[in-house]
Amino acid sequence: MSATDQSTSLDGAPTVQVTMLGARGTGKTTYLLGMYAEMSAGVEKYFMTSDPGTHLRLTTDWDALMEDGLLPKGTDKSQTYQFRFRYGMTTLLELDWLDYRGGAITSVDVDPSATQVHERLAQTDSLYLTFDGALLASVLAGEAKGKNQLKYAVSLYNNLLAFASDRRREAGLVQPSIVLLVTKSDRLIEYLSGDSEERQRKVVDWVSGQFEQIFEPGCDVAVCTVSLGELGREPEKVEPAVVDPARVHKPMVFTLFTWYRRQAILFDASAEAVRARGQRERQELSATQAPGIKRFLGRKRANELTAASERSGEEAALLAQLANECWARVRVLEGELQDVEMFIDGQPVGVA
Amino acid sequence: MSHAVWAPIVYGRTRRVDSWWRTLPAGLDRDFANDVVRAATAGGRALERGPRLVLAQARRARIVGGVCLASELSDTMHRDEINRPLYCFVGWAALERETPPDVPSIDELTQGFADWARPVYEHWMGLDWDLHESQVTGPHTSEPQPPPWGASAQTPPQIGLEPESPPWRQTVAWPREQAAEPWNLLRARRRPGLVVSGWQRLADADVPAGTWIVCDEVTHQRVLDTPASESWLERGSRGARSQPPPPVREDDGRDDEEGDRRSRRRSRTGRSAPRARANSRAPERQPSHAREGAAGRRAPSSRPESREQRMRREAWGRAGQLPPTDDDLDAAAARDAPEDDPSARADTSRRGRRRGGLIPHSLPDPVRLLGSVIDILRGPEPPAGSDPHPDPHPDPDPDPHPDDTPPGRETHPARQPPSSEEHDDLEPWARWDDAPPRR
Repeated sequence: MSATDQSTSLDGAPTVQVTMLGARGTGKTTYLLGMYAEMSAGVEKYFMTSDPGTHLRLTTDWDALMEDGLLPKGTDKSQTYQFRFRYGMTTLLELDWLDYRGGAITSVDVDPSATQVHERLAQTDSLYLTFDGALLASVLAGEAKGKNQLKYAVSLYNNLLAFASDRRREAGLVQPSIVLLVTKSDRLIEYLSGDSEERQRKVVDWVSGQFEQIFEPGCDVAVCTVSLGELGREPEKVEPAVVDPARVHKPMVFTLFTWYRRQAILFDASAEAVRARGQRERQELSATQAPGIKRFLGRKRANELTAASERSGEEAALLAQLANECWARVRVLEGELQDVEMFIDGQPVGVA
Repeated sequence: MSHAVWAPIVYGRTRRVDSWWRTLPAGLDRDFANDVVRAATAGGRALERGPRLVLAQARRARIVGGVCLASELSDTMHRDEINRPLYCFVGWAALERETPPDVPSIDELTQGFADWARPVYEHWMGLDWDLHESQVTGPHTSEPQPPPWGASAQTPPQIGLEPESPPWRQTVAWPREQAAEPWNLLRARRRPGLVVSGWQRLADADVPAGTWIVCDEVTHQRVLDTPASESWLERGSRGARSQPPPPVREDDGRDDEEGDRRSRRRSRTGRSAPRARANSRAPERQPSHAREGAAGRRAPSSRPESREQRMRREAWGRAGQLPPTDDDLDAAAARDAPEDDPSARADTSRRGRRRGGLIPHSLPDPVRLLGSVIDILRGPEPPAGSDPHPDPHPDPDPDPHPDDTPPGRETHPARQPPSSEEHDDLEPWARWDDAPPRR
């Protein structure tokens, strides 16, 4: 981060951890490039930034795709990116984004982060489970190989989800929001009838049917289909003219929407708890305010309670203000999710 | 000296399996090898413009080789099963002996790399290329051989200890015209070091602190900004992977308890030494394992943190936690109740709590006894509602208006959306939507 970035933060701005999982070739890195390209350009005055080196690398790779049709190579290491999410020039929070190497979950021969996947999951606030649209297309086409691969992926994800859920619960943390991300959704067009909305509905139903256990109270889930255009089947290079990113920023908006919503609920509840504490302190303070010798005996305690009550008042007011700010952001971000199939606390809140 | 001391190393994934080490010699420190290779591969960036060449030394090993697109070494084994181009590292490793084995000059390696590396890559990658994942169990073990550069390797130039020679533990960049300098410096010294030559842009060089690089973008030799933390060289010299010490931070006198707690929650382990962003115009970002948690991170300014800033930071430090339940609140109330008031403890409801005892529990017993006597004499308690110490920040409206609330908020009726007067205090962009909420 540049010195300028750091000097304009932070006032306690939190960090949101995002982990993106997916088998090799599912399009994770390509998705990241498209997402960053969209979010760095801005959505409703919200935008993302990164340090100059990272920004240069990501935008250069995106340009290589858009101009020369060069897809990202399969990488030998998982990559962590630090982003900042801003409104105007104000930093709202920091994003710690881990793009997991496709084989890292099953291989430990090089990438040391492969051995920390479980540790990372316990700390992740938003988990992206990537499904290759090409794989789903092969399943729809009735290919047995595709079905087996899909089962393998679902099995692996279920295992990791259960682990993350258990660890978060033990730590007293909210469950991570989950994005079921279907990449290369253009590959499904020929296998799914209907218009765009109907096809999306079918994909959502199908993918969400693989993970019924996560649609329960306390869990926020979105099913997002993204595409970079009709790039064709495993091309060496793509035709730049067909690169047409669609909806790539929606998953990130969902992550932020659910995160702010959870924080708002926490702040609301905390404010109430602090008010209750302040009420008790004032009641005890009143008890010390008695005439004569009792007032003398209770003076020290009265002073303590007065100070405590004032602090409680300040804290409650601050928490209420923070809740207010979070709810305001929730409403703004919600506006970008009208066409996203979401499940908040296990209940559908999305496209009718 | 050219007898059999150099064992091939090949790093590159196969067509079907995302596993990268193909062969290593026995006894070569894997962490050292990983650090060297990953410093050069940089995720395969910018290899279309040509290979990057590497010379690395640890206490007991030397590695020389290069990173390139696999298509430069093989016509058949250069794309994975979904047609993505592959890159690889091919090199040679020598376990240190009393006399370090000869290393080719940068010019020799530039000229001969592709021809030397091609048969090595073809052989070792060919063993695993089409295997199923279950069949790829780990790297093969290579044996020392005579090096491909033979006995004609130039004798390393004798270089004295120049006072102006670059710091050994800093990241230094040379221009392409001076590529031989860092190479020869390292060749002539028996000390840890890493040179990666062939970068086009500094932004691409994601290398560990302490690496020497040769980059087209650099016009003169210069030291690059790096985090004030342990270089990989120090770690490598101890012969074991370990966590570098956290960077020194400004001490603003703030209580770091929350930061520590957050840091423990966010701890990352096992990362390599912090990597230097080879962009001297931007200060380095702290590595994640050395960073404090979100609540502990602060601007580098020397301004002391205000009370409100601290409170905000601590509040955000609890981000991600579950909201307190009714049981939590009751337990907190029970803890807060004075010890000498069993009636206060008995009534653990969140509302309508009874007044506590007169005498603070911190005072000695004789005083409490006197207080008890006075308590008897003082008479009835004031009526409810006549609180002489009202809440300075009352809840504006405990009753929600569900029609105005975002999804899920109706289940938490502690707050309602702020009035138009209130949201003037919010950030100027915050607007309450007049549209009805989604379900």
